[in-house]
Amino acid sequence: MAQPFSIAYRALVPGDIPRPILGMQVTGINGRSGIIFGIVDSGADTSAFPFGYASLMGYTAQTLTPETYQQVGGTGTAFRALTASQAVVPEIPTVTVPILPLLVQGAQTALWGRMDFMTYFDVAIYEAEQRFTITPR
Amino acid sequence: MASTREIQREPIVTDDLSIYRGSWVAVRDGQVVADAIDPVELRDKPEVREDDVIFLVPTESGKTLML
Repeated sequence: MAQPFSIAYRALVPGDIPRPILGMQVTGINGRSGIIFGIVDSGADTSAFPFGYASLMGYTAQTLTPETYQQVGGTGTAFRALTASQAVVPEIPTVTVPILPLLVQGAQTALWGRMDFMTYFDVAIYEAEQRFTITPR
Repeated sequence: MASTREIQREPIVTDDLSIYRGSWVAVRDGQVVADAIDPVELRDKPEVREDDVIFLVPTESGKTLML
């Protein structure tokens, strides 16, 4: 049986509300890589990033396509990656998650979503204990 | 049943980020080493290393988040 990994809730900004935040090593289509901290979010169909990550990851107009998204506050237009980047939890290097992130102008926080991240990891939220677990499938 | 392993126990940042809200920051060992409005401008600053963590500091402070 696969080993679960437990992560305590953290705040991206000290003093903010602690949330289920996970750091993943993301390698963009330009071959550059870095840690992105995102909220593990079962409400996000796919992973989504603030738009500024597009240029850091090598995405251009040729590798993005407009896409309408829906959230509780209404709809908006963002840009879907056409070429996959790769995301790895540094402590679990055997699992590589291909992601076609939605890059959202005005977004403040990265999200690890359901149809990419949660296809590779089972997620359990323990809100009362302020922690969550991820288990490789 | 497989035992649970705790990971990522360290705080992401120990510095006060309130003055950086709305900007991109480069963080090393929990401390801000550089900031900029544009993430590529930040990445290309000489004081920023390839392995520094770069992220946008949210403009809003600890309010309820509805995604």
